Amino acid sequence: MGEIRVVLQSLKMSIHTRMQYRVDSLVATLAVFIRESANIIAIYLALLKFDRINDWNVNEMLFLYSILFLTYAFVVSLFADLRQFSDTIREGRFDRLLVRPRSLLLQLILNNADLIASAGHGTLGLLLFVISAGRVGIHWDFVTVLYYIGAIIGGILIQGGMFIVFSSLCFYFVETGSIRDIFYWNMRKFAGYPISIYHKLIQGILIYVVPFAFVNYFPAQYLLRKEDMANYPAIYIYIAPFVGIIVYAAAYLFWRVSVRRYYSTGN
Amino acid sequence: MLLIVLKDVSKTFRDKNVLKNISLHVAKNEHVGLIGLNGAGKTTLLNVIAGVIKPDVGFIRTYGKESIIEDHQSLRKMAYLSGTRSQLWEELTVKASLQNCMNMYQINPQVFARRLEQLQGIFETEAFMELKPGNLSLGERMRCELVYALLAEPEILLLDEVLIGVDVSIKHKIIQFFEADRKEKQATIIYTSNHLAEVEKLCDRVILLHAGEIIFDGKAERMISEFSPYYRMEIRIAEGLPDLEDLPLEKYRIDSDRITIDYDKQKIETTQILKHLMKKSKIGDIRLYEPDLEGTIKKIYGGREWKTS
Repeated sequence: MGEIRVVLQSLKMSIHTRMQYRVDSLVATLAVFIRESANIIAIYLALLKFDRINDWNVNEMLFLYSILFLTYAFVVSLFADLRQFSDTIREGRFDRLLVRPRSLLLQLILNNADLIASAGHGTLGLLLFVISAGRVGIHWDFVTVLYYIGAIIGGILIQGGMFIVFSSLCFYFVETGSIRDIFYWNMRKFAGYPISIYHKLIQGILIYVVPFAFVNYFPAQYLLRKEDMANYPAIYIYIAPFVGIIVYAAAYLFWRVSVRRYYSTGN
Repeated sequence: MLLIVLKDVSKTFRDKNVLKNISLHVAKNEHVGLIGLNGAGKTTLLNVIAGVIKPDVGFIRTYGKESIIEDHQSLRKMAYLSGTRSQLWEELTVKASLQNCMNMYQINPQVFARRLEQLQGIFETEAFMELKPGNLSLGERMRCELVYALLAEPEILLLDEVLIGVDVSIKHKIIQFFEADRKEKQATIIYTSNHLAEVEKLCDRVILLHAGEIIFDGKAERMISEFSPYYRMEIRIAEGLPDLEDLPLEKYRIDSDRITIDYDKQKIETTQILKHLMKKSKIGDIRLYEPDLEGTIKKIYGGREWKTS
């Protein structure tokens, strides 16, 4: 229970800090929203020309996108401190966390929560969901709603796990920003479209290396049942919500090993 | 009860032996001054004790734990405060940081309020509560750091160069606080410093670290009486030549109107020398040099020379 209180305290502090500059926060949120929306609008206009890509229509692709934004809205606040983790190490701000009587990750989670980015991405995600969900023929019942919530949580855990892995790499290498740019941001761009349109290699990376496919593609397949799903084992649809738990647990183990190595070999 | 035990601890960083065969015991409620020149290995030794760095070889137990940072129960009883590494959250006000501390160390809110009021009184930090650490001077921040470190009433306190940048009046208050603590026997404290005089007042025991080795471990008074180098006095005589033969001086040199005297404070007081000089001569100018740590180290090594920096 104490652990949860510490995390909630971090959130309270983050909100408090942002609320001191209400107008700034609102404007910044709007800026994030507009920036991300501009991307989506550009993609939307391009897609109108094609009508369909691999049997996916525009609304179905917006639905695919909405999952990315909704999950990222949580990730960007929960794991905000892990985004600049290499700076934390380089500037020697990590050692002080070691001597505090709390789990290291719990000290980092929700600390400095980027609520502005969360609000921007979250609003856009919701908007895309509202626009697309009603038009893609999903039959919403108890099971599908439950699956959808599970998939969102799984998606948050998958991306959180990736952030933890990228942060753990900072214990071994000085510069890890480019690894993260390639494997997180570039792959996330790919994940905006049905992965079946890509070369096998990229599909493989999206399924097995940085499993974005389990964040939005396979969960969307459960709800939409497109024909291109025939290319992949059907079970992937059903395990999607659980992949998050596995990725997160593996990332956590890697983190523990890396931290131990960090203070035992000297920093 | 031994709270900290190190046996044959060595640590190498990039081919540099930062710590060499360090063995030491610290008993409960002992106040230990860890002194040494810059780069002697003081902070590394403190990091080893805190578990932030693991030694390459050797035996280490703090609170009976090989790695205290992996045991949150024990860690709650230890505070590690550094003049160069802040424990406060840069992005939060000091007050918010202290509240975080309350939550992390599971301090009862009433106890917290009472303790905070008491510490605020000692370190005069009320005015800084709504500010962020970035807006404070080094000394002001250090006082807030001390409040943070002492809130949880730690049983082990590791203080790394905490008097850096603190102005004299506050320095005095901090020293007073820890002197009182020493009498009341509330905590086990290790201070690092490169000022012998600072540590002398606060500690029962002094450990002198040089190039990663312990070259002295014992009472502060013993170190001063046995190894402290001589004080040096340089005088310009305006009139009349003094007679210095009768005084128990270590060494003196007369060079026309300039006299250089090296003396041991155990044998003769500065004022006695001055009184003697003024009997026969008029003093034009005078300069005093206190013995420094470098001199002490050289003396322990048997070298008699020392620098008047």
